[in-house]
Amino acid sequence: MECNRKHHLILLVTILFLMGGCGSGTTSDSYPSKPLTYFVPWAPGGMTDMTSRMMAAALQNEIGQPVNVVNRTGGGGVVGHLALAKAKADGYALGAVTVEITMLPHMGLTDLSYEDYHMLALQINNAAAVTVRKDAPWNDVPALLEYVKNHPGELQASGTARGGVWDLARIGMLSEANLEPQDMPWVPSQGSAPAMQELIAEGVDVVTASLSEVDAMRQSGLVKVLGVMSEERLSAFPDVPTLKEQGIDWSIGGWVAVGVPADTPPEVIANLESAISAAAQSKAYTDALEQAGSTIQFLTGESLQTFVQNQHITNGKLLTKAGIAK
Amino acid sequence: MMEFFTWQSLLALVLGALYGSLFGAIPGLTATLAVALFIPVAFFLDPIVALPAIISISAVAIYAGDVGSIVAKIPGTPASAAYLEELSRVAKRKGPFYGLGLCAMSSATGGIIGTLLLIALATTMASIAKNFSSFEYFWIAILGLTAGVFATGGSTLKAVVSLLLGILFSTVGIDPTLGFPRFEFGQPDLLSGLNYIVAMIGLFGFSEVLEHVYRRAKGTDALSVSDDSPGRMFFSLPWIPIIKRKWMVLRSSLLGVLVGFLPGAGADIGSWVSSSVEKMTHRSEGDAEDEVIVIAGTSSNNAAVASAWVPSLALGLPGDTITAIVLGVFLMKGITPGPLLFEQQPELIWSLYLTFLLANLIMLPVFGYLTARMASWLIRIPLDILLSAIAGVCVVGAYVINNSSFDILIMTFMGIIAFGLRRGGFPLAQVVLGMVLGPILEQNFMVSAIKSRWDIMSFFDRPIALVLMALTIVIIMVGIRTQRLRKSTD
Repeated sequence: MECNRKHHLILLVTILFLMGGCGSGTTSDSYPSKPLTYFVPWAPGGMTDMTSRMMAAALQNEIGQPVNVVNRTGGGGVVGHLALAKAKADGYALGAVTVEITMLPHMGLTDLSYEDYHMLALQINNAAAVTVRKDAPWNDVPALLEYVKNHPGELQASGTARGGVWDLARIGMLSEANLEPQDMPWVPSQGSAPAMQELIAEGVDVVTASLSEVDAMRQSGLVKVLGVMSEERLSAFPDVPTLKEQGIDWSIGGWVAVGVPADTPPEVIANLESAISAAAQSKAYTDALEQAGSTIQFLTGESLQTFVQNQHITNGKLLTKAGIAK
Repeated sequence: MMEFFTWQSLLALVLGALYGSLFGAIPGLTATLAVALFIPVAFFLDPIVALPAIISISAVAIYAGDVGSIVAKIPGTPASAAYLEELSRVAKRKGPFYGLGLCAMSSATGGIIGTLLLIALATTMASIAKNFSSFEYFWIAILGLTAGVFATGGSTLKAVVSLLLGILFSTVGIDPTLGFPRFEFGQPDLLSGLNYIVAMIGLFGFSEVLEHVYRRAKGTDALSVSDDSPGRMFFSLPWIPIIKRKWMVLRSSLLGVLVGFLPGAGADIGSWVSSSVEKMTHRSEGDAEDEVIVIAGTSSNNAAVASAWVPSLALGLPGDTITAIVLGVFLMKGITPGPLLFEQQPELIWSLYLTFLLANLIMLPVFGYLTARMASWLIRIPLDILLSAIAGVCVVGAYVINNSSFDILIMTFMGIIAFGLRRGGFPLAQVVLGMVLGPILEQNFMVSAIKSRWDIMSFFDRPIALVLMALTIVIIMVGIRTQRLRKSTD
C-alpha cells in the first residue's frame, strides 16, 4: 500500500508538471510562444559555432523563450545552410549564415544563394592575416610578395579547403600585387588548425587564415603575422599592420550573420531584428566575442543587404579568376 | 595551486563526471558532444571551474562508452570498437560488473600512466608533435590500418575486405581536398558524407537487433549476472589480470600516449594498435586473451586522453574537438598557450595535472561503478523489451548526432549491411576503422602529393615518416608470422 501511495504522489506531481508546461504554451499567443531553433552550418567548437551560441544565449534573454542551437554540418557548409533555407518560415527557425553563402553558388555546389534568406544582422567579420614561421626571412608583406615574384611557384600557402574564404584571401592579395594565383599555389586543408600544423612542420610557407585563428600560435612564439587584410588595424591587435598600410589595397574577412528563411513574415522579422539588436548590445555577448579574438561588425537592414550583395559579386570574380567557379 | 582545490572546482569535477557518465553511456552521445554542449556554460565560468569539469567529462565519458558495448553491443567510440567482441565475451562469462570493472580499472590505470608521462615529457612530446606534417599523418593512418588488419582473431583477408568497405564508405560526400562531390546521388544530405558514429550504431546496435530477430528460435544468450558481490567484481577482482600484466599495461599506455599527442590522430588509433599488438603477441587462448585485449585497448585510449592536451598547451594547436574547445576557454581567459606556459604558469599546469589524476583516481571508478549498476539493471530487462529499446536507442542516437532524419536511414542501411557481413564472417569493427582512417589517409595523401608536386619519393624523405613506415613493416611481418604459427598449431 505504501508503495501505491508513493506512485500516486509521483503521478500527481507529473500531472501538475505537465499542466504547468501546457499552461505556458497556451496562454501567450503572441510571438514567440515556443522555443526557437538556431541552425549552425559548422561543427561545435569552431568560430561560427561559438559566435552563434553566444547570440543564442543573449537572444534567449531578450525574447524569454529558449533558443536551441542545432549543428547541421558538412558539405562545406551546404548542409546547414540548406537546412535553414528549407526550414518552416514561421520565425521559429533562424540560424547562422556565413561567408560561404556568397561562394558556394559560384562553385556549382548548390542552388542556394543569399537570396534564400532574410539577413537579420551581421555579427562578426574576421579579417584574414598573412602568417609565416617565426624564422622566415620576410618581415612584411611586400618582402614576401617580392620573393614570390622572383621565385614563382616556390612558396605554398594553406588555410582551408580549395576555394574557401582564406583561399580567396590569397588570390585577392596576389592579384592586387599583379601576381597570378599559381605563383603561390594553394595546399588544401581541413581548416586553419591543420594548416597551422603544416606551417610549423615546414610543410607550407604561408597561412592566410584569420588573425583570431592564428593568435594562439602567434602568442606561443612559433609564428609571426606580417599583416592583416582589414580596412583598419584591429583593436584587439594594434601591433599588426594592415596590408593597406603596406601598399596592398586588399581586405577580406570571414563573416558570420544571423538570418531567417526568406519567406518569414515581416512582423516576425521586425520583432526578431529588434531583439537581436538589443541582444548584440549586451556586455556578456560583446565581451565573449572580443575575448575569442573576433572583430564585431554589426550591420542590419539596407547596409547589410548591400554588404552581402557586394560580397556575392566580389567572391564570384575571385573564384572565376582562380578557375574554381563553374 | 591551492586555489584550484576550492569547493567549486571539486563540485565541477563531480558534476562533470556525472554528466560525462550519463552522456557517454548513451549510444550516439559522445565525449566530444558532451564537451561541445558544455561550451556556452564553460565560457561564462572561471577556468578554475570550467577546466576540471571538462577534464572529468572527457575522462569519464570515454570510459562510459564501454557501457554501451556491454548492454547493447554498441561501442561508444571507434576506440572501443577495437575490443568490442572481447569485452562482450568477458561480460558474458563473468558478468557486467567484472567486465566494466576491468574497463574502468584499466582506463584509470592508463589515464594515470598517461598523466604521469605527460608530467615528465610534455615539452619533449610537443617538440616532436611540431614536426608532424601531412607525410607523417599519412604514415600514421597506414600504421593504424595495418594494425586493423591484424587485430582480428579470424581471417586476415576478411579483415582487409571489411577495412576496404569502410574506406569506400568514407569516400562518400564532398572530397576533402579539391571539393568535388562524390557518390552523392543528387542528395544534399550525402554531401556531408557518412558519419562514422551513425554507421557504428547501425553496424553494431541495429544489426544485433536484426540478428536476434533472425535467430529467434535458437534461444537467447542473455548475460549472466554473477552472485558475487558487485563491489568486489568491480573494484578488486579486475586488478588480478591487470597486475599480472603490468608491463603490458605500461606498454599499451605508452602507445596511447605516443599516438594520442599527435594533433588529430588521437585515441582511436592508439586503442587499435595496442589491441592488435596484444592479439598478435599473445599465445594464450579464451578467457585470458579476451581480458588482455580489453585491458590493452582501454588503458591505451584513456592514456591518450591526457596526452591529447599536449599540443594545445604547448603549441596552441588543438588536437581534437575537445582540446579545441579548451583552447578557446584559455584564450578567452587570457591564458596564452605555448612553451612559455609551462615556465610562467606552473601552478596552472600542475593544477591541470592534479585534476587529471583526481579524475582518473576517484571520479572514474566511482562514477564507473554507478554506470555499471545502471548497466546491470538494464541487462536484467527481458531480452524482448531490451531489444526493442535498443532499436529505439539506435534511431534516436543516429538522429541526435546531426539532428538529421536522413541519418536514421543511413543507420538502418548500415545495420542491414552488417547483418550480411556477419553471415559471411566478416569483422564489423574494421569497417568503422576504415571509415575513421579513410579520410585521414586520403587528405594527407592528397595534401602531401600536391605539396610535393606529385613527387612520390617525398613520402620517404622525412625521418619520422621513415620510422613510421618501418613500424608498419614490422607489424606486417609479425602479423604474417603469427598467422602462420596459428595455422600450424591448428
